[in-house]
Amino acid sequence: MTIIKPFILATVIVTLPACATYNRVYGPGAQQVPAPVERSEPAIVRENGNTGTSERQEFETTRDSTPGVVTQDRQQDRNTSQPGQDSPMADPRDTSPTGTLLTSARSAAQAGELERAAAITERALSISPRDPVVWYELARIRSLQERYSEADGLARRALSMAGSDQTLRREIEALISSVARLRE
Amino acid sequence: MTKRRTRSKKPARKTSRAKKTFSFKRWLFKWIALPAILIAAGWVLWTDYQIRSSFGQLQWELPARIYAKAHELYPGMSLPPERLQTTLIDLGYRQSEVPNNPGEFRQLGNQFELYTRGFQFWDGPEPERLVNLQYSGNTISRLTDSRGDPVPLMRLEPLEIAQINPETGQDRLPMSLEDVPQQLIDAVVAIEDRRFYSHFGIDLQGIARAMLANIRAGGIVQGGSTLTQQLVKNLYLHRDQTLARKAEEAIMAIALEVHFSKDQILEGYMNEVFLGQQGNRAIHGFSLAAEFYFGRRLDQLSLSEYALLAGMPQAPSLYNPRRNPQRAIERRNTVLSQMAAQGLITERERELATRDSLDVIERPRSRSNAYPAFMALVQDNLAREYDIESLRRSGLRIFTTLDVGIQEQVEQRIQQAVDAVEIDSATSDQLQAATIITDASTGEVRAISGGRDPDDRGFNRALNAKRQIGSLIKPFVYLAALDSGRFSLASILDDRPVEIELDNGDTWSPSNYNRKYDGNVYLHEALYRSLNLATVDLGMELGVGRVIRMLEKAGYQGDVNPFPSLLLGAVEMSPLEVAQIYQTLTSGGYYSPLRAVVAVTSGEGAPLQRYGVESTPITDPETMFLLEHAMQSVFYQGTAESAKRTLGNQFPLAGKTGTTNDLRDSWFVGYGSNLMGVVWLGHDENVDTGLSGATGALPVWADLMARLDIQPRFTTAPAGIEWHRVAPVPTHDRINQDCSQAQSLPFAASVPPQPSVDCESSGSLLDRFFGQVRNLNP
Repeated sequence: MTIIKPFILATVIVTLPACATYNRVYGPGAQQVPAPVERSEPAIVRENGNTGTSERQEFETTRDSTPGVVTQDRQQDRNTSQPGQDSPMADPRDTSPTGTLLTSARSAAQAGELERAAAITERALSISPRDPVVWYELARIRSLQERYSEADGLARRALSMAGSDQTLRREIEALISSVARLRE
Repeated sequence: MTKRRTRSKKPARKTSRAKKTFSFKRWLFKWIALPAILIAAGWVLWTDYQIRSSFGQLQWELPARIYAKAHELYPGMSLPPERLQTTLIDLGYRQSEVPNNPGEFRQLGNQFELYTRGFQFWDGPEPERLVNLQYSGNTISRLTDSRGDPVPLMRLEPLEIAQINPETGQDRLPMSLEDVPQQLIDAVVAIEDRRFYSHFGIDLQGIARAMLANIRAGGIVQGGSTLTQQLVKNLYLHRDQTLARKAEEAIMAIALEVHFSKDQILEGYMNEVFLGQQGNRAIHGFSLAAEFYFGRRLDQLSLSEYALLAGMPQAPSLYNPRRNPQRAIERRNTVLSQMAAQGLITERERELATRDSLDVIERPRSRSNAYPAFMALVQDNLAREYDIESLRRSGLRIFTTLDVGIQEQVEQRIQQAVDAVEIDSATSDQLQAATIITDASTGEVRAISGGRDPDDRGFNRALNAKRQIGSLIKPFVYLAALDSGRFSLASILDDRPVEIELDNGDTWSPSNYNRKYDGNVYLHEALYRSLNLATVDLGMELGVGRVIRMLEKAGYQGDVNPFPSLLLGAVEMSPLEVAQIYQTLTSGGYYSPLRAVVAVTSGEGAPLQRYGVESTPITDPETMFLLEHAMQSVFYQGTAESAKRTLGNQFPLAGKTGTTNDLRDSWFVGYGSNLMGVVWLGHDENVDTGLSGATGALPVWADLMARLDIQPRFTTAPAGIEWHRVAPVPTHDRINQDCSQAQSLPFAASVPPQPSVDCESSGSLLDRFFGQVRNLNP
């Protein structure tokens, strides 16, 4: 563990300017926004012959996922075995309630106050409980705290909500595999 | 020190005189006076020592304070204006024309002007601030600060819902003297002890004046006690007013003055003084009194309010501004006159302050008695790390997950809702109820009622009534089946009478609730219609051990008998245990321990413990999605279909009914995207209720949930899910397949429907052929 610490520090410093990589829009009533919508209501087709597309359930998500710009600096994250303190998913310009909380959680984490960062992130969770980014952020904090089994569970939960957002999925999967390595 | 010297001089003089006179006097001195003096000196020394040590390490015993979840406010948040107003009033906010003090607000049409008090939370301070809040409908549409800048979000102070009191019942909010406003100090000194800064513990001039006044009046109208004497009396002596006590009080007061500064003594007085009573809670100190009477912090009060508080110690109940407003005003004005006479305020200030109205808040609700069922869980949670003594003494702040709005709604509604379903039965024992509401995602407990009467302090059924759970177990049987990778929602189960031979040689022959049986049924239908025989068929195929392991992964920690009857819910659980295992389903297949306490800080707000959200997967997302689909069907076409009337607009929801043998227990557990609710109905004597889960607990649940604004549960299909249309009739025989009324069901890619029911035409002829062959050889 002690060998890795300088790397973490280096990563923090390197990634500091590159934190605004992912544009995420939280509108008013943010808890409704991120939940991909689709009803799992049993669709029963009554009419004979009505076998068009309508009886098939559609599974696109309604979320407009702005593709994030992945900067080169983020690559360095993956080279170290610990994710950096900076969240690649948080956007400091985001002034929505959830975005604001994630921003302040991030500065708490940067100041080394990891449990406080977790508390703030959980506050965001109470506002946007189905937002995968918030669960992902919490997973990252737990992993920085070396609470790997918690981090793993939280990250998997984030992944199960991530829908078709490929950028986010990749981030979460990277976290899960780094946590798996660290757990050994 | 000085005292001892003066005392010891006297005997020296006596001794010299005694030498010259009779030996009788020497005898008298030797055997009576000297011992008396020694004893007196010893007593003084002892008192002095006691005062020095006990006041030096004076520590107030402070009750633990328990807070509900704080309200978040942000644009886009749905919180009806009436609810905001109730919340503010509960928090002791005062309506004011112009809110320019913390703790005041004004409502104008769809706008609120709100001056918050600020609070030290676990994760940091929430500043006090003046904000403008605009509504459109029931949603906050704009939130700006006094400069008009947008505020992204803010928190109100959390409501204090209970205390764990010291045995004395004393409550206070100790503060150091530098935080006490000078005007209050001036007022107290002016009215109680104007020579406080010049006397040495007792005020001889004051005593003389008081005696004179008392003689003139022919009774006791004035006391000559200094602040120091009052403090000593309150701290160490208590009630009885004998002469010896008076002497002791004087000696202690002098000792206190010798060893401690005026400021230390004043600080002690400011925190000790008794200022009111609420039930068995005694209000001590000006700091707590400010909150108790005015709903604001001490430093946020006005001159007239300081004068009012300063006037109270003499007779807290006589000058109680709530009970005797007129006397309280007179007393306040006396204090103001004294202050003006002593030049502490100007005549103009006095006059203005005299005109102020009292502005006390309505009696804060009796906190120590609220929400007993929830508080029992809080104490349970805390008992893991704190002993009761430290809770009573160290002034901890406990932050809980209680949503006061939800709890109040449950309490208001539960009795009527139970009345509406109760069937007159032979027993005189009243139908009882228990309810638990939790946050669907995080496992935070939002509300609990432990009986039909929520104020019932007796048996807390939500935590302590262990009852059979009946069909509530089925989702875990089906989850174990789907998780095994051998079953799909369209697997065909055998719903026929069965006799199972038990290890002890008995036979067990379960039956369906309606005594009928269906033959072949689809797995998902067996769950949503709660078919016993099909479930036993599935469970026996699967093995009871798998079901037990699934229950344990979902968070059940009690004992289970590994008998086949477990498959139909022959296991006793409390509603809380049921809530725990269902929480795992509600959160999408992640075990999250239920929590009533999220954080603990010291009395000053320093972070101590925190209990964060946990989330451990118990199966894969695909399996959970399949189970969820069937659990939603419970509402669409299963045993909870009748809830469509009340909650149709909020569908899809997921849930399960539960009924036990002879209708002894009526259960329902249901969840949307925001909340989960467990409802149990039954008799304490464990007799027939005449109610099934669907006719008893379900309507009560639906009634509560409609009021709590349960939100629909839209669930994302994981990538590994594919959809197939399956034939309406479950059959192993491909030839009989009728796809005219096919239904679409989700499947894990690894376990597609068997070809005999699959209506997708994508399969090749060869596939169908091999499907047939598979079916011929089971």
